[in-house]
Amino acid sequence: MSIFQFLLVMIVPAMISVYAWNFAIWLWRSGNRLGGVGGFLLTLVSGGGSLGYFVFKLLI
Amino acid sequence: MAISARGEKVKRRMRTDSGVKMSEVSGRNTGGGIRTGHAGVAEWTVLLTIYMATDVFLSYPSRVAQEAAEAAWMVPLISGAIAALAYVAIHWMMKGHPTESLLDIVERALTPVGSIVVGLIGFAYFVLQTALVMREFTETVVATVLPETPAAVVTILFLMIVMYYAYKGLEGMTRVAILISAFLVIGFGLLLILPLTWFHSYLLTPILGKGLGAVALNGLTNTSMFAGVFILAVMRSSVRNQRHTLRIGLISTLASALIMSVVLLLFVGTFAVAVTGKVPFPMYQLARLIYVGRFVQRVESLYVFIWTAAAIMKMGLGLWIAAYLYARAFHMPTMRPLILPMGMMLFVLSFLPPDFTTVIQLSGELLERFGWAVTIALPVIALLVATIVASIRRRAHGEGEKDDPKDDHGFTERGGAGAQ
Repeated sequence: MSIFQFLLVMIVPAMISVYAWNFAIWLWRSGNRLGGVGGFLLTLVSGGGSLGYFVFKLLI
Repeated sequence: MAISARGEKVKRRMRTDSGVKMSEVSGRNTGGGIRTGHAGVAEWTVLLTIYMATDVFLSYPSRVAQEAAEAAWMVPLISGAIAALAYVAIHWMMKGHPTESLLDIVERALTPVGSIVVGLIGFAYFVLQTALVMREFTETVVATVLPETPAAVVTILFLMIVMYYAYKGLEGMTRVAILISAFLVIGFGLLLILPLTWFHSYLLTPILGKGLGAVALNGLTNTSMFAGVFILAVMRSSVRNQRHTLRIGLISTLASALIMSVVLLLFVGTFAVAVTGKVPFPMYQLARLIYVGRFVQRVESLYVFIWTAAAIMKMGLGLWIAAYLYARAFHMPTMRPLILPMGMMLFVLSFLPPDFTTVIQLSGELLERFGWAVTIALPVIALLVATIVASIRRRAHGEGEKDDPKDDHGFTERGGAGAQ
């Protein structure tokens, strides 16, 4: 597999992870600590999970 | 002065059109600070009926026919009756709190930890269920109408529409549901009437199938199909006319039970029990049977539109309610930013099962068998515990709080309302 194929598959999950991470940071900075924790957790599960899944699918 | 007032009016109307800020205009908060808007009785009833009855397009009829044999048509009626009774109990326990949802009541009685637990359990259920439904619909599309298309492409297209539908919010979803419902009813009715030439009533005997015990047991476990009970308990405060929430719950539950029962009756009466397990897409097979002269045949292509519209509404509401429960559990002020990451999560989860057989197994052995614990038992038990805790508190605090005319369950302080 070429590096470009890898980047092509990764770009959407990576962008959505950045979006979710920024949302969590916004919640945290606006004083909503519980919401911030929820946001980080969602980033971890959705972003981390999907990036891990795609890496696994590409490498196997 | 007049220009300023007009500008304010336009601004308020624009907020209303966006589907999120409606409650801000009406001045009513709909749970935990998240502005969801409001929907009428008919809109809610139609959306919930479509949500619950869409399972007939999947492998549900085939599974129930295998489990309950000739008496399969009784199973949804029993499940529907149990779900309706559960909703009556929920309605009765929530009667004193017309503007509050299940999570508000649980939070007040059991601290925010209680609402986080209930919210996250509900979120996990709806995410899993929507992911499995998405994979099942994708596989059905690929196996029946688009055999050359990769499953991932079909799922991505589905997901894009589903995310847009969920992004439009509660008001958008309910309005689309009521607009499309007429086409769905006509199309679905024709789909059930036209293959009647193949129907043989003797295939429905013995009438009790594998026995009364098997039918009752299946009826009990299949109550998980009626997740509308849970959704309505959570979203109760978003019903425009609070006096009619019981009507919404009962009509949507019983209508979807009736639709499922009629489909199962036709399915078993047409294909016979012996082959039902070998028919993975019962409604599609029924549509393929239609032959009314030379010019009315192969109408399954029309049926695909009905099926896809219903599927998108089901998955859209599933995604939306999952996002709502998550946002509400963590006291987030808005839920829209969660739809994109959750959509990606749905994509990954829907592709975790290696094949279609595993998807059907997971649906049948995990969600259908134990789903009732979340959709029916969880709201009933949570409200029961909340009512008991409130009653104990009321007794502990004496007579002063008992006289509160707004609250016959003894809740007098609003705690942990979260991001408002």
